[in-house]
Amino acid sequence: MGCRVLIVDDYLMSRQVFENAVRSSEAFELAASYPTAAEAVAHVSRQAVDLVIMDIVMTQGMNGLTAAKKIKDIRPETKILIVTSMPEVSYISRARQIGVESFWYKEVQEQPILAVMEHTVAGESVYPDSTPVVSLGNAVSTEFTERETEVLRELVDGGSNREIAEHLGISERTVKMHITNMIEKTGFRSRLELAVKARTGGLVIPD
Amino acid sequence: MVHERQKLDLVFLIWLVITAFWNIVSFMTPVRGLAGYMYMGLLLFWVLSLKREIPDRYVRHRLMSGGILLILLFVFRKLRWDVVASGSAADRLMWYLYYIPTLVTPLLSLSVSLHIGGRDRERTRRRLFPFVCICFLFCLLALTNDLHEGVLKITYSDGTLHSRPAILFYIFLIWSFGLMLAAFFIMLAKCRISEVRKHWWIPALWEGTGLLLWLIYYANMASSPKIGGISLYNIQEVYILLFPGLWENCIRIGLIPSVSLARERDWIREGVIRTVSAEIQQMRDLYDRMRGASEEQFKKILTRMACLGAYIKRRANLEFIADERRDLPVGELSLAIRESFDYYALAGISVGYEETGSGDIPALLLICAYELFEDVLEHAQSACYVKVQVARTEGSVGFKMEVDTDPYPEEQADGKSGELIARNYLDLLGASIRISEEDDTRRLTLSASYQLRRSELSGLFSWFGAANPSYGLSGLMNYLSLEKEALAARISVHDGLGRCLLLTKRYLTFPEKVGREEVQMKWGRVLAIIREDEAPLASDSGETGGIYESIRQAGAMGVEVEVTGSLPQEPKLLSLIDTAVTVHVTNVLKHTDGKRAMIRSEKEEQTWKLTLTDDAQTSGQVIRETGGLKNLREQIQAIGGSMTVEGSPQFVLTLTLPEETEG
Repeated sequence: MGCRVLIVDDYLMSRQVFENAVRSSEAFELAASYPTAAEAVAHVSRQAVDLVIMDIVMTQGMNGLTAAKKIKDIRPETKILIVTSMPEVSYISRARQIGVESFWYKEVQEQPILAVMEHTVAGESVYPDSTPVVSLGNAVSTEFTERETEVLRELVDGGSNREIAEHLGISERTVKMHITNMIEKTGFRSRLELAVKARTGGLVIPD
Repeated sequence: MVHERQKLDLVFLIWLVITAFWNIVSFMTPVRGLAGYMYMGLLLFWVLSLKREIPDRYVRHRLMSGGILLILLFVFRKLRWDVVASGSAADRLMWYLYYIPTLVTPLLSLSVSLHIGGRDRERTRRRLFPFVCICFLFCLLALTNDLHEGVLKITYSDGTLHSRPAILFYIFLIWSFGLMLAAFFIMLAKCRISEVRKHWWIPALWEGTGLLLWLIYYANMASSPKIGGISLYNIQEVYILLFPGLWENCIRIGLIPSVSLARERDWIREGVIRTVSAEIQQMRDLYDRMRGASEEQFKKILTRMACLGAYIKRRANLEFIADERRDLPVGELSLAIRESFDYYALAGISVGYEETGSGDIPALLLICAYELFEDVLEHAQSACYVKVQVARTEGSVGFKMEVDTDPYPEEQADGKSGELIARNYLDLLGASIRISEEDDTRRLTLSASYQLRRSELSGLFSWFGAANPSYGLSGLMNYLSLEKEALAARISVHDGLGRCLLLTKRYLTFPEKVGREEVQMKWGRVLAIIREDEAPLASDSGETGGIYESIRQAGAMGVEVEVTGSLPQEPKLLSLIDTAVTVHVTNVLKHTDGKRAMIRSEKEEQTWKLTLTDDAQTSGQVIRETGGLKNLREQIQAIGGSMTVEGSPQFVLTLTLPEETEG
């Protein structure tokens, strides 16, 4: 009997891809496949599974990272493999904080998904070396400093300069400076364009 | 703004008051009987004013007939008192003729009340038929009173005619009062479930006063009440309150759709909601510039036309859906915004949309939100982000839309988007608008909160053919053009624009796959269709060049159409299938990742069965019938066919069409 795998992804095609991967290996057995994180959490609370493959961004309800935390609280022994196509800069660190065992970028596919699954259930932790590089106008995401990325996150959240300054504990003037720098790097015409592109490009995704 | 009808109402009211006053004091003047002529003039003026005012011919004919009958009532009185010899047969005949207007106008009132906003006219007429028969019988009995004296017992004393009411007299009274009361309550009910409910008290006040005066008159032994020996009013004056008074006030508040009020509402909508006429004019101007434009200019013009076209299509679509429903799902706003964004993105505007919550919101609020969004988007320099939130609590729904843009600096100071619209929105919707600006970003927030509606009233008066709950100005659409013509208008604009927009998008994305001339011709054709919509419609028979042209165009747009089986040859059926193919291809392009649209046609015993599917991988979608699908269903049902739509696990559209259509 193989390891029981629970798949969670709101996109049908993705779920089907993971299901096919599970069925292609005798080492795994499909326990269930859900489009929402809430259903997955409910399943895990009822019965144990060995591995959860969890997407992060869901169109409805809680996101995958929140669900992963809940699953870890309910069944700490359950291994979790986070999958995402979003290059959001904070996902990897947040996944590590939660205790997620492995992390896999759908678009990049550094390793085949089956290999990552096998390593994960074997007790290894598989994380990408870095976040995918995202083009943002004339710049790429790696050109932003950590502080700039934090300011960008607050900007995408819809914060005013004052609110951003308060949240980050810096002055408004500093906030404006960071935004101006990012606009100059990217060549965008306004802070709004910067925020919209960062959001639609997947670099920053508010929860 | 005081619309034309309101000015006329003022004239009517002044005329009525002066005439009533003159009637009271005329005994002191040498000029007698002038009031009667003044009343007749007032009624004639009212009747003539209805001719071009009321588009619904059922209501218009009944109102005009009632007005003419009341004029005749005054004529009969004039003839009786001033012309014919007292006590003669002609005198009696004039007297009996009074009963015609007094018996028929209450029935006409009832008929008007039933026809307001009603859709099944034939059913209403069938229901009234027994009343018409009874009324005819009563009129006959009144005119033949000399034979049976069932209405009035006539006696002569000293050459003077006297009368006593007989049994039919009281039956006539009950008949008249009963019908007037029924008309009154039906009118009240329709006020309650229509958009004019706040103003119900205006016609109610007139009718209530009229009914009271009527009761006092007949309680006073069918004679004028007097104060200090001065006669206050006659029964014919009371009928002016009860008939033209009541219905003129119904016109005034909008319960009876009128051309003047439609114009006034257009004006309100211009101040609050831009009409599409300005955009159509812009498109025409842009089209004229297309011909000699360089390739780069052509693309810019095309992009701008696509932005305008998407707005017109979506705006018209929302209006047509709002005709049928008072509340619309917030998803309709999402679709409209996303479609606009598709084309603005081609113009280099960075766009983003976020929606939380779901549910229905009032149609007018949704339309206003879309208008506000378009108004703001037009001024975006490089980006626009929209966030829509719908939050439901017990018994109420909160709606919020935030639109962030970075307008050009010289446009930031323009208060049009904010102040004027804010004021009018607040007036109409109870919504609030807030504008905040930081650096180069302007945020406009529209918020509204409303109680959830109760729909049980809509079924309560179904026997009376009461108005559809969404009745209001939309009812005017049905009155101004027949249902079929309105449907044809809707289809030709929606489908024509839809195809044009998709072709434009394909040209701007893959210019090597679509010719510039084809795009230009398409826009020319669409503008011609829209222009035809401003006058009574001509059908757009030449638009597609048939289904085979639609299939060719689908290929140009990137969707291969495969047809299996033979198709019906009857032109009307072929045209319908053409529409179905267009709708299907549009949905494949816009909502799926499919590249092939498959159509299978099978001839069964007396029907044609068509199955439309696609090769999309995205499946399990919830299908909402709006726009093209909705129009298609109406067309199919109109010829006696049926349509089913499945979204899961695959999209399947199944049409069952009759072998032959009528006419």
